[in-house]
Amino acid sequence: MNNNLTIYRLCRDQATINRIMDENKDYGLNSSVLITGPDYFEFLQNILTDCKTEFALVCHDDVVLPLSIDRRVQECIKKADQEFGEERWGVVGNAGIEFLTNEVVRFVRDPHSAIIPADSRPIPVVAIDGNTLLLNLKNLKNKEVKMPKILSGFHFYDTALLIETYRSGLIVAVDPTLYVYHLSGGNQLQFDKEAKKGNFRKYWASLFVNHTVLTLNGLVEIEIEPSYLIPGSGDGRKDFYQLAEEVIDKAYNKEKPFVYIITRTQLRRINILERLLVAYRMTTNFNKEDINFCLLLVVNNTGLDEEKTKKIVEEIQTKYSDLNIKIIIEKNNSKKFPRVNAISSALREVDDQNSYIWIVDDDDFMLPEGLKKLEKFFDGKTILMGNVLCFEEKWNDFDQYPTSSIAKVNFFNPQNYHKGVFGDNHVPVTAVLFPFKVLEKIFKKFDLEGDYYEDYAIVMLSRNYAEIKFYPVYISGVSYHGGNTVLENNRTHWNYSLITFLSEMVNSGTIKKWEYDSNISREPFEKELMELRARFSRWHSLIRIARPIVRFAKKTKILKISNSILGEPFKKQSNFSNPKISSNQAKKKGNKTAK
Amino acid sequence: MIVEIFCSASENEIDKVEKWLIPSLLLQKNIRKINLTIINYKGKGTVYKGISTIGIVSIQEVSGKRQLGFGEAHNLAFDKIKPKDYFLIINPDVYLDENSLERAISTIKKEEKIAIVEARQLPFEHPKEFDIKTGETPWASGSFMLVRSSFFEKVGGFDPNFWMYCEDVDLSWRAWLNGYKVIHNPAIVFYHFTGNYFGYDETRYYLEHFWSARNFLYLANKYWGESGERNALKLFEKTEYPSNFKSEVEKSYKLLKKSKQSVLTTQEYEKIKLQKSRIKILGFNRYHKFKEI
Repeated sequence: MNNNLTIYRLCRDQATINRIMDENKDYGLNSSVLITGPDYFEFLQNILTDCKTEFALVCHDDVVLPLSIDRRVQECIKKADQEFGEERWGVVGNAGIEFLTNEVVRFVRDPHSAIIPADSRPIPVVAIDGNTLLLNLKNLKNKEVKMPKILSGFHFYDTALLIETYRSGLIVAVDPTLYVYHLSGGNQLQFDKEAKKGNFRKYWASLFVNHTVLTLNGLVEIEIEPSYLIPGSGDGRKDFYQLAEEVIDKAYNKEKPFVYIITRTQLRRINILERLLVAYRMTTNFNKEDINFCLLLVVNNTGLDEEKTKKIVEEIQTKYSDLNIKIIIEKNNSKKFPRVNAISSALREVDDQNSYIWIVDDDDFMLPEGLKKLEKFFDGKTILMGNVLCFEEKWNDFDQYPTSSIAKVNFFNPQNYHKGVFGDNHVPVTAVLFPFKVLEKIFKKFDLEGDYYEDYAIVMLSRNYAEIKFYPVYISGVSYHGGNTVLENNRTHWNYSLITFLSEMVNSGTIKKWEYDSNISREPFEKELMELRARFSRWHSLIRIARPIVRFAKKTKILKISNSILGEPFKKQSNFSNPKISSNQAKKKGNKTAK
Repeated sequence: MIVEIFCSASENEIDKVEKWLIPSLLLQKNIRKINLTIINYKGKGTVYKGISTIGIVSIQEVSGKRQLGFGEAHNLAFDKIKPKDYFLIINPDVYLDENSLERAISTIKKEEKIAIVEARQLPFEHPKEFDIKTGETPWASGSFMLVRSSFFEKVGGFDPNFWMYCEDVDLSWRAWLNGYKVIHNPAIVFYHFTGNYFGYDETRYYLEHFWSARNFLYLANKYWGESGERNALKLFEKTEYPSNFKSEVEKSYKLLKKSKQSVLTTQEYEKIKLQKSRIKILGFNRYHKFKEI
């Protein structure tokens, strides 16, 4: 047994203690401290007070530990130390709700799930399951973490420990090294009862302003006095999830990473490019303490003469002289693969091997605050994927701004990147931050001959070189407007590009045999979906035709729709029935009342 | 051309003022001088610690002795600075297009009767209606409004009873009632690129939820008296806010009502009726039709 670790189990009765002792003997496992009697709060508090070792592994009595548990715990400590810093973490478990994604992560086999997860790093969580918990007692004692006296019993002890750990400034995480077999799925009924009537509600409401608590057993709704919304009320309660974020942010103390943004432009749409440059200024300024930036602006296939190109470039350099912009002017290369060539040229300008590459089209733009949330996960190895907003826009050629721009929230879903094997692209390239090394390998190894779909090809090929991690954080905006490529009538060049890239993928072993096998089982379902989509699109054209007719009918009062009562308030009540939705919709639509 | 700008900020927002707003002010075309007044609305310490003159921008800070609401904060700045012709109210987390100030000023100069000029926000456009030909709009958002000083003085500034949210709707309505115009000019642009635009966490309520609801009741009572209040309460009751949230909002509203009973004269009622295309409530917390696209 490791000198710095004690394994504890709270057993329901003496018979269970005897069983576990026998099992330990049979399998040559190191002895555990087996206790029966106290409730889980008292049990944990006693460990926090009395345990002499630096770490304690606390398990339920129905948890089957792997025979390699001692080694795994040491790995877990090492990984957590490396990821967060020795003095920054308090508890690691094996199942929880991931910070930022709010997704359930389970490194446990139990009656709920048997999927073998793929993650390999410790993941900070905002909810944890108590079946197996590794306590960093050195840190917890230093920070004087205590279980709340107001609580007792066998539910919410894990949530309470998580809360007290975060309140003390230490991280709570889950890690695959603590993968175990948990024979019980828990007692949901008892949990629900406790959630409705127990003291946890009082405990939470005294500390936090959140009326919803995320737990692995579901959302717990708690009535919160809204006095925190009244200035001068002296209400010191905090937002728990914000508190956790602050603790997590402090723990990831990495070197300042470098992000290269690659933008290819023909300099034909300077008005649209300006928007990107303003967004770049806001991004750079906002993140300057945390991230180094360089915009590699590649000019090719301009169709402009040398003098005009030079003039525009100089204007950009003067106007944005405060920003790190490197302009690469490529010779007009007979219109052959300008998009791929631009990325390739830009990559040659990258000095930092551990940097990230962000490919942003010249009519798209960055959302400056998104990267701030992702920056802590920059490790130079993982492909980071964020979310993208689609803006359906109308632009007149010479206008400085779009005549209309409508944000569509759920237009893209980059999280479906794995569905790329069915032949469709789900990931706008602006949603992805590639480690430089990954793109470098792709451009060295593959012949990327073609335009359009190069983003699809790059995402598909990149999967062989790094793990992809998706975070639902909006990092960029993509513009859909009349003149851009998606609406191009002549698809010939698209077709050549697509088939060239697909041929490259098929012949380079991008798709593994197991992946093919698992996906082929889903193919009929995907086909059905495609058919449905095709059917809808047929109706869509009818709706398109009908829309102006309805609009005309409304205008000419042929069709009477009394959705507004001018100057006569309240005669007809609107459909604002759900404040949560309505406030969010209002946000989405920019429907703020002030400020 | 000298422009007075008011921006209320605390230590939480000053970073964006320095990183976004000020750099964009430095690039304004055809503007000789900008006086940026940062209103330290929390009233504690000093919020802006940078240098006082950067290029064409002079920066000063004003502060009340206590925490001020949005309207109160701007009233305070107005009293202290006494802007001559007009002044700009701006959010701290925005970036102005280089032509925005010049265009806003030339818009307000077009007509003495224009009290407020509102800009277009990109990339997240406000869906509020406006007349394409005249630019007339029911209300202007406080995130960017150029206000005529004489109008502001005449109507007594913002109504401080709002504390925050909806005071811009009220100021706009008072402009219409006093024979002024509120103009939205889409050629004046400011940027508000933020992924956080969709970032309200659904596990909790924010100031906007509480004060928008409370001020919805107040607006209804202020302009339509008891019957307006009754209808507004009915709409509010139908929302899915939890009962304790509703009762806290109503409690706050009743406290306000004790000191501020709305008694409208028949003349005032008539005036409001005449402006029914602008002064209107179309649903819970909705004061406009959606813009036709």
